[in-house]
This record gives sequence, structure tokens and C-alpha cells, in this order.
Amino acid sequence: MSMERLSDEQVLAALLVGERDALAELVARYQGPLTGYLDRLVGGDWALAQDLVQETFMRVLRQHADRGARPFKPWLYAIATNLARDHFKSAAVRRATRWDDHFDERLVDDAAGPEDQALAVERGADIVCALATLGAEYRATLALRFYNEMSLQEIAETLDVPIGTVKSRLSVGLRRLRAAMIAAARIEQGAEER
Amino acid sequence: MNAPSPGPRNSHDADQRLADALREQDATPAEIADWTPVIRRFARWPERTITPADTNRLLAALAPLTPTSAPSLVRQAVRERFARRHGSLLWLLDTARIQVSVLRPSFWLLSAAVMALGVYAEFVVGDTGSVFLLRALSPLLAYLGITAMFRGVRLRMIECELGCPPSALQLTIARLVVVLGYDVGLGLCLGLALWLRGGHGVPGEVSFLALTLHWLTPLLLVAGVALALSLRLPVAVAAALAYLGWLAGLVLYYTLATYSPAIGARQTPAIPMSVEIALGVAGLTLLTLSVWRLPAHFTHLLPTG
Repeated sequence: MSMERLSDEQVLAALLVGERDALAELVARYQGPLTGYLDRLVGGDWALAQDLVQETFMRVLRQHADRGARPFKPWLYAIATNLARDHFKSAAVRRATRWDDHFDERLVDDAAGPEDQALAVERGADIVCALATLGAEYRATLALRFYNEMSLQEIAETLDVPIGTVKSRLSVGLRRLRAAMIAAARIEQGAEER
Repeated sequence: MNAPSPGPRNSHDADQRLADALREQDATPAEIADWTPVIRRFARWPERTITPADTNRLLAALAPLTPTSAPSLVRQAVRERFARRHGSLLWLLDTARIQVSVLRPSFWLLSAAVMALGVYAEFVVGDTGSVFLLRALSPLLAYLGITAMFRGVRLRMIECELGCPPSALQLTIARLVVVLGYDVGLGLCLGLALWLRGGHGVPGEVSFLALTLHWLTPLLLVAGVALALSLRLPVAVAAALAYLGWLAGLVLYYTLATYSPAIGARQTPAIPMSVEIALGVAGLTLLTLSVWRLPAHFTHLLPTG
């Protein structure tokens, strides 16, 4: 049976009646975008993002009855977002670290010299650092909008907030991101001048 | 509107789409100018790719949780019961008999009412108008039949139907035989009634064969087209399109024929019998091909939300 032309909801229905190819199709559709999304959410920790993707799909299989009439995609990303949040909550209990601190631990290296910093910018670490300055809800909203290319309505459904809140988070998030990038560029410029 | 990915697209279109997306979130022109480079920097995220090994690992982890098609004990018992008679004529008849109970009484009554309308048209309207009415009414039976066949889709019961011991192909054939068999039977009754009366209302075409063709050809053609369209479209839309298409074609043909000098001289805009037979054969061919292909397309009938 050809799965490519089916909607996500139809593939899920086929999966639940035992269609073998349906799981592979869902994974083919969402493993990449979901890992990329979670990677942005957890500050570039690729291994953690992959673990969370696996847990997300497990929840899909275990809790499909909870989806109700919700479209599949926002439901899937809502599970992923909640899992990322839960992960850092539990980590915070165990290791007394906050979700947002995770970025700083991984990315901010005060001992790095100007050349190392320039290399990091080239590798894209500057955007990772800039994103780290934002709160988790802003990171999620920006990633869903500008990486996963979701509509405002889909983001609202995913994060369970009104569309007005989505717009506000996007505006505030972009403003803060721009400020962080400008600040990072000034620091970089200062380091080069010294 | 979906936001464009901030990937390395430098075209004017990509910029325009990005600007549109920002406008959608109520950004001012100044903000759009400020934020566009910021969003483009998103593309500099240190992207990594999913390897086939990653995918295989994920699939292996999910496999134990995947619902299997292993049948339950009840289902096994049902299958065994069916397996004993599987393939026999009795089993096929039994499957068809079960399909009769699936169709609602309104289908049988409405179809009979349409046939009665055909009789009424023939006895009361008379002249060439009755042939037109026969050709316009009979595909209504096809419309009713096709929508009744797929009633399970509307009721969101299609998964249950697909879970039954008979295959999707066997179910489709059984229902088609029941529905079209009933419609054809009605058509034959109508033809017989008119033939016994003498066919006075059908000038020049009083034979039983001609009357039956007037009734069956549009029915088979519309049923075939509706089933073929249902491979791509929702069943109700497909059936309505097929019927309305036929009606539009019929009206157009009669309108043109009425004003055509060649046909106007005969005063009866008749479709030649050879054309009617060809249309009927085309309908049957479409029906056969569609039934053959339908099981592979059954998943598009599954509920989407």
C-alpha cells in the first residue's frame, strides 16, 4: 500500500490497525524536522534531541487515544515540547540546573580566544549562543515558525496558547535575538581590536 | 500562512515570503527590515543530518510498541469459521446477504421510488420527454447506490469494515453486486412494464431492449465514473460529480439536438443505439477497473481528523 500520498492522520490510523509500512512513513516524515526542532530547543545537544525524539514517538504509540480530534502535527510537536520541558525540570531537580542554563553550560567558554570565537561564529555557534539568551517559550515559538515553517495557527495549537500570544512571542523573540546578535558582534569586534 | 525557512534562499521570492510572514505577525516595515537578517542567520545553526543508522535505531526501539495485526482470539475464531466455507458459492452468497443488511431501508425505498418516477414519466409525460426523464432518473439510482455502498466512510466505520474476514475487494464486489443488481432488477421491471404497455410513450423505440438501454446505460456509466472518481475524491463528491456531469451532458445534448437542423427534421433528439451500447460498455469497463483498484486506495477513505 502506498503511504506517500496519505495525510499524517491517515498514516497514523493505518499504523494503529497494524499496517507495517506506516511507522516507517511517519518516522521518515518527522524524524529529521523533529530532531532539528528539539536540537534548537535544547541548545544543540544532538544526542539529547535524538533521545527526546524517540520518547516522543513512543508517546505517540502509547497515548494515541489522547489525541482526540487534534491534527497530528501540532499534537506531535506539543508532545516533543512538553518532553523537553519535563526533561529539564527533572534535570533541575537532580542537578540543580535550569533549562535555560543548559545552553550556557554547553556553549559559553570564557577562556576561548578571539580565533576560537571567530571559528565558533563560522560554525554557527553564535546563533546557538544568541538563541540561548532567550527564554524557552521564545525559542520554541521561533523554531516552530522559522525552522519548521508552521503557520501561526499550528504554533498556537502546538503550544496551546492564543494566536495573539504567538505573535507577541515572535516579535519579542526576534527583538531579543537581534539584540543578542548585535551584542555578540560588538564583543567580537572588541576582541579583534585588542 | 507558513513561514519560509530561513535557509540559503536568496531569491526575491524568498524575501517576499519572509516579509509576508513577518507582516502576518503584525511587524512594521522597520521591524521587517531589522528582523530579516536575524531570521536568515537561523540558517547558520550547526545542522547535523540523520543517518540511516539513527533511523534504524529509532525504528528498532519503536517496534515493540507498534500495534501488530496479530488477531485476537475472537477474531481467530471468526476467521476459522469463515475459512471453512471460504471460496464456496455459499460463502459468497452469505457475504452478499450480509451486505444487504448493511444498506438502510431508505436506499431500497428511494431506489424503488426513482423507478416509479420513471414509470410515471413514461405513462404520463409521453413523447420524447419520457426518454429524457428515463436517462436523467436512472443515474440517480447509481448515485444513491454508490453513496450507500460507502456508508461506512461517513459513519467512520470503515476501519471496522476493513477488519472483517472478507477482503476489501470481496466486500466491494459483494456490495456492488447487491446494489447494482437491485438497480438493474428495477430497470428490467421498468422495461418490462413499459414493454407490456406497448411503449407508446417512446416513439420509434418500443423494443424491450431499447427501453432497457435507456435505463441501464446511464446507470452503468455514472456508477463507473463515480467509482473511478472515488479513487481520488471523497465518495459523496465523486458520486455527485458523476451524476451532475451526466445531467449537464444530457441537457447540452438535447439542447443542441433540438436546434440542430439535421435532428430537428426528425423531431426526436435520440442517441443512436450503438452509442448507447458503447457508453454502457465504457461504464462497465470503468466499474471493473475501479473495483480492481479500489482496495489499494481504501486508506484514503479512513478518517482524517
